[in-house]
Amino acid sequence: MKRRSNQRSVGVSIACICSALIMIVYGNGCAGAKAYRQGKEAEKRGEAHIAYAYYAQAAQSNPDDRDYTRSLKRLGPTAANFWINSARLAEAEGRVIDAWKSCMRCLMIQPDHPEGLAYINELDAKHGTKLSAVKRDWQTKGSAILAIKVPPKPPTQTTAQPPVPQISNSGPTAERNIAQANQPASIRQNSSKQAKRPKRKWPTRSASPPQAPDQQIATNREQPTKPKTARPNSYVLSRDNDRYRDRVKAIDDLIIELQDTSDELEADIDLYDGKRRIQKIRGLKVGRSKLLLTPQNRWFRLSIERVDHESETVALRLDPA
Amino acid sequence: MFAGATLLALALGTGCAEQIAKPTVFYCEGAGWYSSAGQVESGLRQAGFKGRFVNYSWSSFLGPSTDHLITARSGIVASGLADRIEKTRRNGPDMPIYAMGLSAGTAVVLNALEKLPEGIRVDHVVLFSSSASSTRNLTPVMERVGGRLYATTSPHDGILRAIVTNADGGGGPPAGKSGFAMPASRDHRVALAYSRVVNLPWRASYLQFGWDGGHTAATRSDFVQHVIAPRIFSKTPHPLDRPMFRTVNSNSRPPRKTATAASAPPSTVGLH
Repeated sequence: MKRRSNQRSVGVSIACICSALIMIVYGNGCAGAKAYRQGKEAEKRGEAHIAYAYYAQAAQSNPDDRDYTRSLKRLGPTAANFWINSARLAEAEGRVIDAWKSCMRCLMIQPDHPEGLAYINELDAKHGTKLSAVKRDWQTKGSAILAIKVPPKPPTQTTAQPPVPQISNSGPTAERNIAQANQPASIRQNSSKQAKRPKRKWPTRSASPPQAPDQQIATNREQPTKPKTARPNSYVLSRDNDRYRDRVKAIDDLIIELQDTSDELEADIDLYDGKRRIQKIRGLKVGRSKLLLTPQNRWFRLSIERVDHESETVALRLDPA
Repeated sequence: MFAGATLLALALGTGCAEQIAKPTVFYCEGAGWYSSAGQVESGLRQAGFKGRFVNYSWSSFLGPSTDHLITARSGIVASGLADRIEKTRRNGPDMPIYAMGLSAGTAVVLNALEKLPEGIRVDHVVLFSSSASSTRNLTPVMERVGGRLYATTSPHDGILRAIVTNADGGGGPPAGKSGFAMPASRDHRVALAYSRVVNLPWRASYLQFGWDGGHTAATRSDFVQHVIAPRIFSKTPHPLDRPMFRTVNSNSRPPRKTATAASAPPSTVGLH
């Protein structure tokens, strides 16, 4: 009798250990898979730097997974370039410590990044005293100080631009937009494509391209606005309207290409220096803007003035930063 | 007659080549593993290295166990390497010399450096997946190193997890698994030495360069080119370097750890 109870307790112990092991293995796998999935979503949104961090998190516990490795290899150069651009942007805005951290992130991804290595020395030479505390932190805490904050909603790193008018967010359309905004990005993308409405055309006018979107987008508003006169550094890009091209050569040989729009009045834009893509801008909303560095190293602020999702047309403006 | 003249010319040519001072890498393969030198050399060449790459053959060819347990800690083997380093240094006092090794080959490198005469130094040392003891006191070694010592470490190294005796006979886990640890005594000499010792723990971003945390994968040419070369071919320490002994909080150095997902707050994602 006693022997049987001992056997039973041994059996129970083995079962417990096995199930604990399974839970640990499964838990690790789940964590890795979840991070990988989050990386995929970030990559779809065009946020290579966040996607890279998630892929790295997934691979940290499971380095043998070839998908993780492939993803890291694919996104490494883009993510490193993103961080070096962020570093320059941060320095231009006077955020020296952020600039240093961004530069370190670039080097974490690509330790021999020539621009990263040169730039961090430059930062050291220019702002050595301001950086001493963060460098001490790096020595004691290591890469923990370089962790990226991921906001609940995908970040666009935009800054408010008061003079640009906002599209009205009232009525059923706005409610639908809010409901969709609360959905995951992947679902939002699908639903925005499924919910295609009949096409409207931009008014055919003989005026210069920047004037055109005003009248058309006015149909989305409660109060139509008056047509404006053409301003320098204003552009209209369209993917569906034949009057406009989806790619334009702007100042300093910077090429702006419209990639996509969404019914949340967001625009996806790529910036090129010749054939080389230098920056991806994703989900930039009407009324928001983003700093950019032109091929001739001048800072400009790109602002979205109008978006018409039906004709996939965007009016934007470049102002010196 | 012709063949004799050719051989003589070849011999003289080789002799002359030895005399020309160039930057030199001395490399020691791992025990029973004879194919990593090509990868390391290729990585260094791709990073712009134009000097000599010397693969110092130390194997007994009696198998990995013999090499690991006996040959790697042989004084004769270490003296042989030390002699070659000394000759190269005397031949070109200003030319950089780098000493590198894989696994048990790192024990040969460390023993050889300890045997170098006073005044003879190498510039930098790189230990890939070292199977030397993590508790080994590197102070005598670092007195023969002008620059820095880098040691790759990985918790995913299956071979180092399995070995029971370190290649140099020392205690504790192998350095390639957990990194070198600082000795308890931290006088000026030790502090000076360990302020130039840098453990390079595996992180996921190294997957881009072919090192998956495995034992021999640390010698992949991409990893050497993108991660090791920028460190040893630069006069200043790499911005990412975190030496074991730091002037800040110098007396309470915690063991180096990489940030893990578990230690990061949920709203952040670490760069591994």
